[in-house]
Amino acid sequence: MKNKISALMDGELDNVDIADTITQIKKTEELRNEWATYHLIGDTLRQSVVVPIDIASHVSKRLAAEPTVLTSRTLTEHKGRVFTLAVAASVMTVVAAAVWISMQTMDLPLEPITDKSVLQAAVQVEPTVITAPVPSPAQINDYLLAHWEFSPRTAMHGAAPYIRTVADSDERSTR
Amino acid sequence: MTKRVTMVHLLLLAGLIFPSFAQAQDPPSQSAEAQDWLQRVIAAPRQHNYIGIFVYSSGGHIETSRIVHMVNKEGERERIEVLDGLPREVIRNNDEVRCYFPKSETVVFEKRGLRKYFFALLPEPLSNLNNNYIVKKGGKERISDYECQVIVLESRDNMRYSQKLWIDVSSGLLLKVAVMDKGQVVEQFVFTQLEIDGEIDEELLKPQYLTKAAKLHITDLVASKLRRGELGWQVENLPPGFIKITEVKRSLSGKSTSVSHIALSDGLAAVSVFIEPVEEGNSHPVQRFFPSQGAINIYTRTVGGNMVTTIGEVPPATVMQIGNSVVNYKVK
Repeated sequence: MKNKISALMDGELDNVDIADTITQIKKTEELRNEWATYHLIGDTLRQSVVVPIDIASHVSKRLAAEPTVLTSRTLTEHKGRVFTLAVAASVMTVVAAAVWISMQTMDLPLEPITDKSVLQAAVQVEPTVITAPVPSPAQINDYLLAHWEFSPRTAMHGAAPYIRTVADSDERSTR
Repeated sequence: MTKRVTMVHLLLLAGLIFPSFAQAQDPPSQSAEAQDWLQRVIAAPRQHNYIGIFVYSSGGHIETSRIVHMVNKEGERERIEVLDGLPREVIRNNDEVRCYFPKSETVVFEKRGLRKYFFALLPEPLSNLNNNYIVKKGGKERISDYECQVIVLESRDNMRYSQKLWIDVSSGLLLKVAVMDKGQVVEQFVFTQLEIDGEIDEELLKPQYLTKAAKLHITDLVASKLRRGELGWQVENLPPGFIKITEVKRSLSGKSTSVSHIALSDGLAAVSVFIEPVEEGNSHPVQRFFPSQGAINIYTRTVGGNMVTTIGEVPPATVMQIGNSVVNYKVK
């Protein structure tokens, strides 16, 4: 059941499981506590910075301002696919990443996103069209695996870091 | 060939050892005792069998895996199976690592020849640790019912994360790791259940997906070593404490051209730079961060028709500084 709660948080359950899991959570206090604890852990690990209360409208504004990225052929094939890491990106990470990316393209100073005025500035950027060669998830995956070969952490953890790749997907079979 | 390899490694060895001599008078930090604990951590997997469940958590995500680790006269064998989400499996046989991704029917294969060489030569990866981290011995804490010694590696600057290690007192195995950024936990690895030095049934080490391997796509992450300067790329503005470990050419998934790989390390954290040409007509300059994965940050930019991707267990600013200072000195 704990696994299901974790999967529910990450949006990885199918509809039947979602209904079942929510019913179970409603019924059992222990599971409600579990749910709350997972969120607390999540918030702590994410080191949540300033979270706009009206997140929906902020996200819409950000999306409107996001540059339209025209990508290479390989990437276009995967258009619309969420770049899922093994550690599945939660809504917060996605929002934070979107801000990161736009901050980079705008060449803003590299500071944690705590300053609301910076966020506002990012929101007001006019959309731009760029052609962006970026690595595909399968490429990132290969990079990560190759990276571990020289990481001192594998000296201490053995092969454990190798599980931390981009989540398996259909990407590879299309290559 | 053998001679060339030896030279490369001698240079490498010199690079690793001299920085620690040069800065021997730096502020004292690392008690000899704390250093001994770290040495034990590195030696322990080659001395003990273990079987257990570990949890890896970062960014609000928690993932559970089962590990079986066996040592005998033939060396180390290991099988790790991810228990949550899509099945994935990692099989290690000494220096060979195979990652199975059953859903996409892919096996990624890697032979870790260079790493083996490190171990034979020096107390790597700890040789230049003291320059970059304050190494402190903490108290004793209990993890998964084992008494553990806490060792703290506190970053001397903001170019790297700090780490806290929990080391089993009797075996020296690492039972918990917390990667911290200014006191905040960025990611954690912890055993929730563990049996040390029990009998291991060989069956448990058998890959579950091996029988289907014939049908799988195989990606071989072959690395070929290079002479110094042969690569043509270098990182000009290395953050303090980072040194180049090696540079290699690799073949990656479905690529006809090879990818250049520069590996850097500060003794504890590693950063890799990958350089590969982009397709024609697709060279608009871009800078992009990928969503960070716990302590791992990924940054991509283009340099003269090449895509430069920097990956490391370091803060975003460090990945970016390294990525932005990659230059091709052949065409400069």
